[in-house]
Amino acid sequence: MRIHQMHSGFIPGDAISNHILEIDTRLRAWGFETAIYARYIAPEMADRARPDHEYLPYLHATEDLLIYHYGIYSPAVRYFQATKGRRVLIYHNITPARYFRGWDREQELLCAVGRRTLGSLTDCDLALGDSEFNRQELLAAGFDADRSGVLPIFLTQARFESLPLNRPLLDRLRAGNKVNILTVGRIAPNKALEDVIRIFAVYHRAINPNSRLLLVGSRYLPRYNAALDALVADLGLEEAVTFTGLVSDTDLKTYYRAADLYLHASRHEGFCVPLLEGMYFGLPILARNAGAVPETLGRAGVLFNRLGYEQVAEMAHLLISDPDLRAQVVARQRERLQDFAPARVENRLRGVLAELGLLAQDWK
Amino acid sequence: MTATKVPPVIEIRDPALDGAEIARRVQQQVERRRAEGRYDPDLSRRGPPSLRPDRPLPAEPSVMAEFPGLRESLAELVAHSRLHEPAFASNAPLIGPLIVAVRRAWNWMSTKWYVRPILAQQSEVNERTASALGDLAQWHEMDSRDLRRLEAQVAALEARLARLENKEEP
Repeated sequence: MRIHQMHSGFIPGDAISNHILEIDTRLRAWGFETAIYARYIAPEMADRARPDHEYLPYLHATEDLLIYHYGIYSPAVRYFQATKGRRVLIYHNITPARYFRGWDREQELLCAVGRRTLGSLTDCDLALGDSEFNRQELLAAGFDADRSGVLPIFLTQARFESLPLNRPLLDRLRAGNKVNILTVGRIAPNKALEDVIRIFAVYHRAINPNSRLLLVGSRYLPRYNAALDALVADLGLEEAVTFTGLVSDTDLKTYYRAADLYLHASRHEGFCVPLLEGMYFGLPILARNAGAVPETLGRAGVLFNRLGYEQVAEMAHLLISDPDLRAQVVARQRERLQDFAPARVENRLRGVLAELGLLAQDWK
Repeated sequence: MTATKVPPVIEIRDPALDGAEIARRVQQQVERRRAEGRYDPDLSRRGPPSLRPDRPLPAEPSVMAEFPGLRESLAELVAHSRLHEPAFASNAPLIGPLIVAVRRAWNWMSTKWYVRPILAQQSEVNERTASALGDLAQWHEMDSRDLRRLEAQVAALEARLARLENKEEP
Protein backbone atom coordinates (compact mmCIF):
# COMPACT_ATOMS: atom_id res chain seq x y z
CA MET A 1 0.00 0.00 0.00
CA ARG A 2 1.02 3.58 -0.55
CA ILE A 3 0.82 6.64 1.67
CA HIS A 4 0.44 9.90 -0.22
CA GLN A 5 0.89 13.36 1.29
CA MET A 6 -0.48 16.46 -0.39
CA HIS A 7 -0.13 20.18 0.27
CA SER A 8 -0.76 23.37 -1.67
CA GLY A 9 2.92 24.34 -1.85
CA PHE A 10 6.22 22.61 -1.30
CA ILE A 11 8.80 25.23 -0.43
CA PRO A 12 12.24 25.05 1.24
CA GLY A 13 12.27 26.37 4.78
CA ASP A 14 8.47 26.25 5.07
CA ALA A 15 7.38 24.65 8.36
CA ILE A 16 4.65 22.51 6.77
CA SER A 17 6.93 21.36 3.94
CA ASN A 18 9.56 20.38 6.51
CA HIS A 19 6.91 18.53 8.51
CA ILE A 20 5.83 16.62 5.38
CA LEU A 21 9.44 15.61 4.72
CA GLU A 22 9.89 14.45 8.32
CA ILE A 23 6.72 12.34 8.12
CA ASP A 24 7.83 10.96 4.75
CA THR A 25 11.21 9.92 6.16
CA ARG A 26 9.52 7.98 8.98
CA LEU A 27 6.97 6.35 6.69
CA ARG A 28 9.70 5.11 4.37
CA ALA A 29 11.69 3.80 7.31
CA TRP A 30 8.62 1.82 8.37
CA GLY A 31 8.39 0.22 4.96
CA PHE A 32 5.66 2.23 3.28
CA GLU A 33 5.77 3.32 -0.32
CA THR A 34 5.29 7.08 -0.25
CA ALA A 35 4.77 10.07 -2.49
CA ILE A 36 4.43 13.83 -1.94
CA TYR A 37 2.26 16.04 -4.14
CA ALA A 38 1.80 19.80 -4.32
CA ARG A 39 0.27 22.39 -6.58
CA TYR A 40 3.33 24.65 -6.35
CA ILE A 41 6.72 23.01 -6.07
CA ALA A 42 9.76 25.25 -5.60
CA PRO A 43 12.46 24.38 -8.16
CA GLU A 44 14.92 23.25 -5.48
CA MET A 45 12.31 20.77 -4.14
CA ALA A 46 11.39 19.32 -7.54
CA ASP A 47 13.08 15.98 -6.83
CA ARG A 48 11.03 15.45 -3.64
CA ALA A 49 7.48 16.14 -4.83
CA ARG A 50 5.21 15.66 -7.84
CA PRO A 51 2.55 17.96 -9.29
CA ASP A 52 -0.76 17.20 -7.56
CA HIS A 53 -2.53 16.07 -10.76
CA GLU A 54 -0.22 13.03 -10.77
CA TYR A 55 -2.25 11.78 -7.82
CA LEU A 56 -5.29 11.23 -10.09
CA PRO A 57 -4.52 7.52 -10.85
CA TYR A 58 -4.71 6.80 -7.10
CA LEU A 59 -8.14 8.33 -6.46
CA HIS A 60 -9.75 4.88 -6.48
CA ALA A 61 -6.93 2.97 -4.77
CA THR A 62 -8.97 1.87 -1.76
CA GLU A 63 -5.98 0.40 0.08
CA ASP A 64 -3.99 3.65 -0.06
CA LEU A 65 -3.91 6.49 2.46
CA LEU A 66 -3.95 10.18 1.55
CA ILE A 67 -2.70 12.64 4.18
CA TYR A 68 -3.84 16.11 3.18
CA HIS A 69 -2.08 19.03 4.85
CA TYR A 70 -4.53 21.89 5.05
CA GLY A 71 -3.16 25.37 5.66
CA ILE A 72 -4.78 27.42 2.92
CA TYR A 73 -7.34 26.84 0.20
CA SER A 74 -6.16 24.99 -2.88
CA PRO A 75 -8.32 23.48 -5.63
CA ALA A 76 -6.41 20.25 -4.89
CA VAL A 77 -8.71 19.79 -1.91
CA ARG A 78 -11.04 18.16 -4.48
CA TYR A 79 -8.61 15.23 -4.68
CA PHE A 80 -9.02 14.74 -0.95
CA GLN A 81 -12.81 14.86 -1.25
CA ALA A 82 -12.86 12.41 -4.19
CA THR A 83 -10.41 9.88 -2.72
CA LYS A 84 -11.97 6.45 -2.19
CA GLY A 85 -9.18 5.15 0.03
CA ARG A 86 -8.43 6.21 3.60
CA ARG A 87 -8.08 9.91 4.24
CA VAL A 88 -6.39 11.84 7.03
CA LEU A 89 -6.62 15.61 7.24
CA ILE A 90 -3.85 17.47 9.08
CA TYR A 91 -5.09 20.95 9.86
CA HIS A 92 -2.33 23.51 10.25
CA ASN A 93 -4.83 26.33 10.69
CA ILE A 94 -5.95 28.99 8.27
CA THR A 95 -5.53 32.64 9.27
CA PRO A 96 -8.94 34.32 9.62
CA ALA A 97 -9.52 36.27 6.41
CA ARG A 98 -10.23 39.54 8.18
CA TYR A 99 -6.56 39.98 9.04
CA PHE A 100 -5.81 40.41 5.33
CA ARG A 101 -8.70 42.81 4.67
CA GLY A 102 -7.42 46.02 3.19
CA TRP A 103 -3.96 44.49 2.72
CA ASP A 104 -4.30 41.72 0.16
CA ARG A 105 -7.51 40.69 -1.55
CA GLU A 106 -6.18 37.37 -2.87
CA GLN A 107 -4.94 36.19 0.53
CA GLU A 108 -8.20 37.32 2.09
CA LEU A 109 -10.21 35.26 -0.40
CA LEU A 110 -7.96 32.19 -0.13
CA CYS A 111 -8.29 32.27 3.65
CA ALA A 112 -12.06 32.89 3.56
CA VAL A 113 -12.70 30.10 1.07
CA GLY A 114 -10.24 27.83 2.89
CA ARG A 115 -12.05 28.23 6.19
CA ARG A 116 -15.43 27.77 4.55
CA THR A 117 -14.25 24.63 2.76
CA LEU A 118 -13.06 23.09 6.04
CA GLY A 119 -16.67 22.20 6.89
CA SER A 120 -16.94 20.12 3.72
CA LEU A 121 -13.96 17.92 4.62
CA THR A 122 -15.44 16.35 7.74
CA ASP A 123 -16.11 13.00 6.10
CA CYS A 124 -12.60 11.60 6.60
CA ASP A 125 -11.08 8.76 8.59
CA LEU A 126 -9.14 11.00 10.94
CA ALA A 127 -8.63 14.73 11.39
CA LEU A 128 -5.55 15.95 13.21
CA GLY A 129 -4.62 19.41 14.40
CA ASP A 130 -1.00 20.18 15.09
CA SER A 131 -2.19 21.69 18.36
CA GLU A 132 -5.22 21.32 20.61
CA PHE A 133 -6.14 24.85 19.49
CA ASN A 134 -6.34 23.59 15.89
CA ARG A 135 -8.24 20.47 16.93
CA GLN A 136 -10.84 22.68 18.61
CA GLU A 137 -11.25 24.60 15.34
CA LEU A 138 -11.82 21.27 13.59
CA LEU A 139 -14.54 20.36 16.08
CA ALA A 140 -16.15 23.78 15.63
CA ALA A 141 -16.19 23.14 11.87
CA GLY A 142 -18.15 19.92 12.42
CA PHE A 143 -15.47 17.21 12.63
CA ASP A 144 -16.17 14.20 14.83
CA ALA A 145 -14.35 14.42 18.17
CA ASP A 146 -13.84 10.64 18.24
CA ARG A 147 -12.02 10.75 14.94
CA SER A 148 -9.80 13.70 15.77
CA GLY A 149 -6.45 14.13 17.48
CA VAL A 150 -3.28 16.16 17.79
CA LEU A 151 -0.02 15.54 15.95
CA PRO A 152 2.50 18.29 16.75
CA ILE A 153 4.87 19.52 14.08
CA PHE A 154 8.29 17.90 13.92
CA LEU A 155 11.02 20.32 14.89
CA THR A 156 13.79 19.48 12.48
CA GLN A 157 16.58 19.68 15.05
CA ALA A 158 18.85 17.43 13.03
CA ARG A 159 18.55 19.88 10.15
CA PHE A 160 19.80 22.76 12.33
CA GLU A 161 22.54 20.65 13.91
CA SER A 162 24.04 19.73 10.57
CA LEU A 163 23.96 23.26 9.20
CA PRO A 164 26.98 25.56 9.34
CA LEU A 165 26.72 29.15 10.58
CA ASN A 166 27.11 32.08 8.22
CA ARG A 167 30.23 33.43 9.92
CA PRO A 168 30.45 36.83 8.17
CA LEU A 169 26.77 37.45 8.99
CA LEU A 170 27.27 36.34 12.59
CA ASP A 171 30.26 38.68 12.95
CA ARG A 172 28.25 41.58 11.55
CA LEU A 173 25.35 40.89 13.90
CA ARG A 174 27.60 40.63 16.94
CA ALA A 175 29.73 43.66 16.08
CA GLY A 176 29.56 46.48 18.64
CA ASN A 177 27.87 44.22 21.22
CA LYS A 178 24.46 45.22 19.99
CA VAL A 179 21.44 43.58 21.56
CA ASN A 180 19.56 41.70 18.82
CA ILE A 181 15.82 41.22 19.22
CA LEU A 182 14.46 38.65 16.80
CA THR A 183 11.11 37.72 15.34
CA VAL A 184 10.65 35.04 12.66
CA GLY A 185 7.76 34.37 10.32
CA ARG A 186 5.95 35.63 7.25
CA ILE A 187 5.58 39.41 7.26
CA ALA A 188 1.79 39.23 7.49
CA PRO A 189 -0.83 41.34 9.30
CA ASN A 190 -1.94 38.57 11.69
CA LYS A 191 1.63 38.58 13.04
CA ALA A 192 1.06 42.19 14.23
CA LEU A 193 4.59 43.26 13.38
CA GLU A 194 3.57 46.87 14.00
CA ASP A 195 3.30 45.91 17.66
CA VAL A 196 6.76 44.30 17.59
CA ILE A 197 8.16 47.49 16.05
CA ARG A 198 6.46 49.76 18.63
CA ILE A 199 7.66 47.58 21.53
CA PHE A 200 11.16 47.71 20.06
CA ALA A 201 10.85 51.49 19.62
CA VAL A 202 10.32 51.84 23.37
CA TYR A 203 13.24 49.50 24.11
CA HIS A 204 15.58 51.20 21.65
CA ARG A 205 14.73 54.80 22.50
CA ALA A 206 14.09 54.64 26.23
CA ILE A 207 16.12 51.65 27.43
CA ASN A 208 18.99 50.59 25.15
CA PRO A 209 19.90 52.49 21.97
CA ASN A 210 22.63 49.91 21.25
CA SER A 211 20.05 47.47 19.95
CA ARG A 212 18.63 46.14 16.73
CA LEU A 213 15.36 44.49 15.65
CA LEU A 214 15.63 41.63 13.15
CA LEU A 215 12.44 40.68 11.32
CA VAL A 216 13.16 37.46 9.48
CA GLY A 217 10.57 36.22 7.00
CA SER A 218 9.23 36.61 3.51
CA ARG A 219 7.76 39.98 2.56
CA TYR A 220 4.95 39.00 0.19
CA LEU A 221 2.31 41.66 0.87
CA PRO A 222 3.40 44.97 -0.74
CA ARG A 223 0.79 47.16 0.99
CA TYR A 224 1.58 45.79 4.43
CA ASN A 225 5.31 46.08 3.74
CA ALA A 226 4.90 49.72 2.73
CA ALA A 227 2.89 50.50 5.87
CA LEU A 228 5.50 48.85 8.11
CA ASP A 229 8.28 50.76 6.31
CA ALA A 230 6.35 53.99 6.90
CA LEU A 231 5.98 53.16 10.60
CA VAL A 232 9.72 52.43 10.92
CA ALA A 233 10.52 55.74 9.17
CA ASP A 234 8.07 57.70 11.33
CA LEU A 235 9.69 56.24 14.44
CA GLY A 236 13.15 57.08 13.09
CA LEU A 237 14.26 53.46 13.35
CA GLU A 238 15.57 52.90 9.81
CA GLU A 239 19.06 52.15 11.11
CA ALA A 240 17.89 49.85 13.88
CA VAL A 241 15.23 47.70 12.17
CA THR A 242 16.15 45.12 9.54
CA PHE A 243 13.70 43.21 7.37
CA THR A 244 15.77 40.30 6.05
CA GLY A 245 13.20 38.80 3.69
CA LEU A 246 13.17 35.03 3.22
CA VAL A 247 16.53 33.57 4.29
CA SER A 248 18.35 30.27 3.85
CA ASP A 249 18.34 27.75 6.71
CA THR A 250 21.99 28.58 7.35
CA ASP A 251 21.20 32.27 7.74
CA LEU A 252 18.14 31.47 9.86
CA LYS A 253 20.34 29.47 12.24
CA THR A 254 22.79 32.39 12.32
CA TYR A 255 20.05 34.91 13.19
CA TYR A 256 18.88 32.68 16.04
CA ARG A 257 22.46 32.26 17.27
CA ALA A 258 23.08 36.03 17.21
CA ALA A 259 19.81 36.97 18.94
CA ASP A 260 19.36 37.91 22.59
CA LEU A 261 15.55 37.66 22.77
CA TYR A 262 12.75 36.17 20.71
CA LEU A 263 9.77 38.55 20.57
CA HIS A 264 6.46 37.42 19.06
CA ALA A 265 3.30 39.55 18.89
CA SER A 266 1.12 37.45 16.57
CA ARG A 267 -2.62 37.72 17.12
CA HIS A 268 -3.34 34.39 15.49
CA GLU A 269 -1.17 31.26 15.39
CA GLY A 270 -2.19 27.64 14.94
CA PHE A 271 1.05 26.26 16.41
CA CYS A 272 4.04 28.62 15.90
CA VAL A 273 7.17 26.71 14.95
CA PRO A 274 9.51 29.71 15.62
CA LEU A 275 8.70 29.35 19.33
CA LEU A 276 10.15 25.83 19.25
CA GLU A 277 13.13 27.12 17.32
CA GLY A 278 13.62 29.91 19.86
CA MET A 279 13.53 27.30 22.65
CA TYR A 280 15.98 25.12 20.75
CA PHE A 281 18.46 28.00 20.34
CA GLY A 282 18.18 28.96 24.01
CA LEU A 283 16.56 32.38 23.51
CA PRO A 284 14.21 33.72 26.17
CA ILE A 285 10.78 34.10 24.58
CA LEU A 286 8.39 36.99 25.10
CA ALA A 287 5.14 36.40 23.20
CA ARG A 288 1.56 37.64 22.98
CA ASN A 289 -0.97 35.40 24.67
CA ALA A 290 -3.01 34.61 21.55
CA GLY A 291 -4.04 31.64 19.46
CA ALA A 292 -2.02 28.48 20.09
CA VAL A 293 0.95 30.40 21.54
CA PRO A 294 0.18 29.67 25.24
CA GLU A 295 -0.39 26.00 24.39
CA THR A 296 2.91 25.70 22.51
CA LEU A 297 4.80 27.47 25.30
CA GLY A 298 3.12 25.55 28.11
CA ARG A 299 4.50 27.02 31.31
CA ALA A 300 7.63 28.25 29.57
CA GLY A 301 8.48 31.71 28.23
CA VAL A 302 6.79 34.96 29.23
CA LEU A 303 3.44 36.08 27.84
CA PHE A 304 1.92 39.51 27.39
CA ASN A 305 -1.86 39.69 27.44
CA ARG A 306 -2.34 43.16 26.04
CA LEU A 307 -0.40 46.12 24.83
CA GLY A 308 1.26 48.10 27.46
CA TYR A 309 4.22 48.95 25.20
CA GLU A 310 6.31 50.20 28.09
CA GLN A 311 5.66 47.15 30.28
CA VAL A 312 6.42 44.71 27.47
CA ALA A 313 9.61 46.58 26.55
CA GLU A 314 10.74 46.64 30.20
CA MET A 315 9.99 42.91 30.46
CA ALA A 316 12.14 42.38 27.35
CA HIS A 317 14.90 44.36 29.03
CA LEU A 318 14.70 42.19 32.16
CA LEU A 319 14.89 39.00 30.10
CA ILE A 320 17.92 40.34 28.25
CA SER A 321 19.81 41.89 31.14
CA ASP A 322 19.05 39.74 34.20
CA PRO A 323 21.22 36.62 33.79
CA ASP A 324 19.48 34.63 36.55
CA LEU A 325 15.99 35.28 35.22
CA ARG A 326 17.15 34.57 31.70
CA ALA A 327 18.73 31.27 32.73
CA GLN A 328 15.57 30.17 34.56
CA VAL A 329 13.31 31.05 31.63
CA VAL A 330 15.59 29.31 29.13
CA ALA A 331 15.85 26.21 31.36
CA ARG A 332 12.04 25.93 31.55
CA GLN A 333 11.83 26.38 27.79
CA ARG A 334 14.36 23.56 27.23
CA GLU A 335 12.22 21.37 29.46
CA ARG A 336 9.13 22.25 27.43
CA LEU A 337 10.97 21.53 24.18
CA GLN A 338 11.28 17.91 25.28
CA ASP A 339 7.50 17.56 24.86
CA PHE A 340 8.07 18.14 21.13
CA ALA A 341 11.10 15.86 20.85
CA PRO A 342 11.11 14.13 17.45
CA ALA A 343 10.88 10.70 19.16
CA ARG A 344 7.62 11.73 20.86
CA VAL A 345 6.07 13.09 17.67
CA GLU A 346 7.22 9.94 15.90
CA ASN A 347 5.45 7.79 18.50
CA ARG A 348 2.30 9.80 18.02
CA LEU A 349 2.54 9.32 14.24
CA ARG A 350 2.89 5.56 14.76
CA GLY A 351 -0.16 5.71 16.99
CA VAL A 352 -2.11 7.43 14.21
CA LEU A 353 -1.14 4.70 11.73
CA ALA A 354 -2.02 2.02 14.27
CA GLU A 355 -5.44 3.63 14.78
CA LEU A 356 -5.98 3.35 11.04
CA GLY A 357 -4.91 -0.30 11.08
CA LEU A 358 -1.82 0.42 9.00
CA LEU A 359 0.66 -0.58 11.70
CA ALA A 360 0.34 -3.27 14.37
CA GLN A 361 -1.17 -2.00 17.65
CA ASP A 362 1.75 -3.46 19.64
CA TRP A 363 4.32 -1.23 17.95
CA LYS A 364 5.45 0.11 21.32
CA MET B 1 -23.32 44.23 36.93
CA THR B 2 -19.94 42.50 37.39
CA ALA B 3 -16.97 44.54 36.20
CA THR B 4 -14.77 42.78 33.61
CA LYS B 5 -11.36 42.01 35.09
CA VAL B 6 -8.60 43.35 32.87
CA PRO B 7 -5.75 40.81 32.75
CA PRO B 8 -2.25 41.97 33.72
CA VAL B 9 0.03 42.97 30.84
CA ILE B 10 2.71 40.42 31.75
CA GLU B 11 1.86 36.83 32.57
CA ILE B 12 4.38 34.29 33.86
CA ARG B 13 3.12 30.72 34.09
CA ASP B 14 6.28 29.09 35.38
CA PRO B 15 5.53 28.27 39.05
CA ALA B 16 9.26 28.32 39.78
CA LEU B 17 9.38 32.05 39.03
CA ASP B 18 8.01 34.76 41.28
CA GLY B 19 5.64 36.37 38.78
CA ALA B 20 4.45 39.04 41.21
CA GLU B 21 8.00 40.12 41.98
CA ILE B 22 8.89 40.28 38.29
CA ALA B 23 5.76 42.35 37.57
CA ARG B 24 6.74 44.69 40.41
CA ARG B 25 10.23 45.17 38.99
CA VAL B 26 8.81 45.86 35.53
CA GLN B 27 6.33 48.38 36.91
CA GLN B 28 9.04 50.09 38.96
CA GLN B 29 11.14 50.59 35.82
CA VAL B 30 8.13 51.87 33.88
CA GLU B 31 7.34 54.44 36.56
CA ARG B 32 10.97 55.56 36.84
CA ARG B 33 11.42 56.06 33.13
CA ARG B 34 8.01 57.65 32.78
CA ALA B 35 8.95 60.14 35.49
CA GLU B 36 12.15 60.86 33.55
CA GLY B 37 10.07 61.50 30.41
CA ARG B 38 11.89 58.74 28.47
CA TYR B 39 8.84 57.30 26.74
CA ASP B 40 7.20 58.65 23.59
CA PRO B 41 3.63 59.59 24.62
CA ASP B 42 2.56 59.58 20.95
CA LEU B 43 3.82 56.08 20.19
CA SER B 44 0.34 54.72 19.37
CA ARG B 45 -0.26 57.51 16.89
CA ARG B 46 3.00 56.99 14.96
CA GLY B 47 2.95 55.49 11.49
CA PRO B 48 0.14 55.21 8.98
CA PRO B 49 -3.47 55.12 10.28
CA SER B 50 -3.84 51.55 8.97
CA LEU B 51 -1.36 50.36 11.63
CA ARG B 52 -2.66 52.24 14.65
CA PRO B 53 -3.73 50.04 17.52
CA ASP B 54 -7.23 51.51 17.72
CA ARG B 55 -7.90 51.36 13.96
CA PRO B 56 -11.35 50.15 13.00
CA LEU B 57 -11.55 47.21 10.61
CA PRO B 58 -12.49 48.32 7.09
CA ALA B 59 -16.02 47.39 6.06
CA GLU B 60 -16.45 44.48 3.70
CA PRO B 61 -17.75 45.68 0.34
CA SER B 62 -20.52 43.58 -1.19
CA VAL B 63 -19.70 41.20 -4.04
CA MET B 64 -22.00 43.08 -6.41
CA ALA B 65 -20.52 46.43 -5.40
CA GLU B 66 -17.01 45.08 -5.74
CA PHE B 67 -17.57 43.71 -9.22
CA PRO B 68 -19.92 46.35 -10.64
CA GLY B 69 -20.44 44.49 -13.92
CA LEU B 70 -21.23 41.15 -12.28
CA ARG B 71 -25.04 41.44 -12.32
CA GLU B 72 -25.02 42.49 -15.99
CA SER B 73 -22.50 39.80 -16.93
CA LEU B 74 -24.68 37.15 -15.33
CA ALA B 75 -27.75 38.40 -17.21
CA GLU B 76 -25.79 38.32 -20.47
CA LEU B 77 -24.54 34.84 -19.72
CA VAL B 78 -28.13 33.63 -19.31
CA ALA B 79 -29.18 35.35 -22.55
CA HIS B 80 -26.37 33.73 -24.53
CA SER B 81 -26.40 30.33 -22.93
CA ARG B 82 -28.57 28.62 -25.62
CA LEU B 83 -26.60 27.92 -28.79
CA HIS B 84 -28.19 28.75 -32.17
CA GLU B 85 -27.40 27.35 -35.56
CA PRO B 86 -26.25 30.03 -37.99
CA ALA B 87 -28.61 31.06 -40.81
CA PHE B 88 -27.04 30.55 -44.23
CA ALA B 89 -26.83 33.45 -46.67
CA SER B 90 -24.96 34.26 -49.88
CA ASN B 91 -24.38 37.55 -51.69
CA ALA B 92 -23.47 35.85 -54.99
CA PRO B 93 -25.65 37.11 -57.85
CA LEU B 94 -28.04 34.63 -59.52
CA ILE B 95 -26.59 31.46 -57.97
CA GLY B 96 -26.85 32.79 -54.40
CA PRO B 97 -30.10 30.97 -53.61
CA LEU B 98 -28.61 27.77 -55.01
CA ILE B 99 -25.52 28.05 -52.79
CA VAL B 100 -27.75 28.60 -49.75
CA ALA B 101 -29.91 25.61 -50.66
CA VAL B 102 -26.86 23.35 -51.08
CA ARG B 103 -25.37 24.51 -47.76
CA ARG B 104 -28.69 23.93 -46.01
CA ALA B 105 -28.98 20.45 -47.48
CA TRP B 106 -25.41 19.57 -46.51
CA ASN B 107 -25.87 21.01 -43.09
CA TRP B 108 -29.11 19.00 -42.65
CA MET B 109 -27.28 15.84 -43.65
CA SER B 110 -24.19 16.41 -41.55
CA THR B 111 -25.61 17.92 -38.36
CA LYS B 112 -29.03 16.37 -37.80
CA TRP B 113 -27.88 13.15 -36.13
CA TYR B 114 -24.66 14.25 -34.48
CA VAL B 115 -24.04 17.97 -34.11
CA ARG B 116 -27.56 19.03 -33.08
CA PRO B 117 -27.76 16.68 -30.08
CA ILE B 118 -24.36 17.99 -28.97
CA LEU B 119 -25.60 21.57 -29.42
CA ALA B 120 -28.62 20.73 -27.26
CA GLN B 121 -26.43 19.18 -24.58
CA GLN B 122 -24.06 22.14 -24.59
CA SER B 123 -26.98 24.59 -24.41
CA GLU B 124 -28.31 22.75 -21.38
CA VAL B 125 -24.89 22.78 -19.69
CA ASN B 126 -24.60 26.51 -20.42
CA GLU B 127 -28.04 27.27 -19.01
CA ARG B 128 -27.43 25.25 -15.86
CA THR B 129 -24.00 26.83 -15.39
CA ALA B 130 -25.43 30.33 -15.81
CA SER B 131 -28.18 29.52 -13.34
CA ALA B 132 -25.72 28.05 -10.80
CA LEU B 133 -23.47 31.10 -11.10
CA GLY B 134 -26.46 33.34 -10.47
CA ASP B 135 -27.33 31.29 -7.37
CA LEU B 136 -23.74 31.48 -6.16
CA ALA B 137 -23.59 35.24 -6.62
CA GLN B 138 -26.85 35.62 -4.71
CA TRP B 139 -25.62 33.28 -1.97
CA HIS B 140 -22.37 35.22 -1.76
CA GLU B 141 -24.32 38.47 -1.57
CA MET B 142 -26.26 37.16 1.41
CA ASP B 143 -23.02 36.01 3.05
CA SER B 144 -21.49 39.41 2.46
CA ARG B 145 -24.41 41.01 4.22
CA ASP B 146 -23.91 38.67 7.19
CA LEU B 147 -20.19 39.40 7.12
CA ARG B 148 -20.77 43.15 7.19
CA ARG B 149 -23.06 42.78 10.17
CA LEU B 150 -20.58 40.53 12.02
CA GLU B 151 -17.69 42.81 11.16
CA ALA B 152 -19.47 45.79 12.60
CA GLN B 153 -19.79 43.77 15.81
CA VAL B 154 -16.11 42.78 15.71
CA ALA B 155 -15.05 46.39 15.06
CA ALA B 156 -17.10 47.57 18.06
CA LEU B 157 -15.57 44.84 20.25
CA GLU B 158 -12.03 45.59 19.03
CA ALA B 159 -12.48 49.29 19.67
CA ARG B 160 -13.64 48.42 23.19
CA LEU B 161 -10.65 46.13 23.65
CA ALA B 162 -8.26 48.84 22.41
CA ARG B 163 -9.78 51.29 24.91
CA LEU B 164 -9.24 48.73 27.69
CA GLU B 165 -5.69 48.04 26.50
CA ASN B 166 -4.84 51.70 26.51
CA LYS B 167 -5.75 51.90 30.18
CA GLU B 168 -2.45 51.52 31.95
CA GLU B 169 -1.92 49.09 34.77
CA PRO B 170 -2.26 50.66 38.20
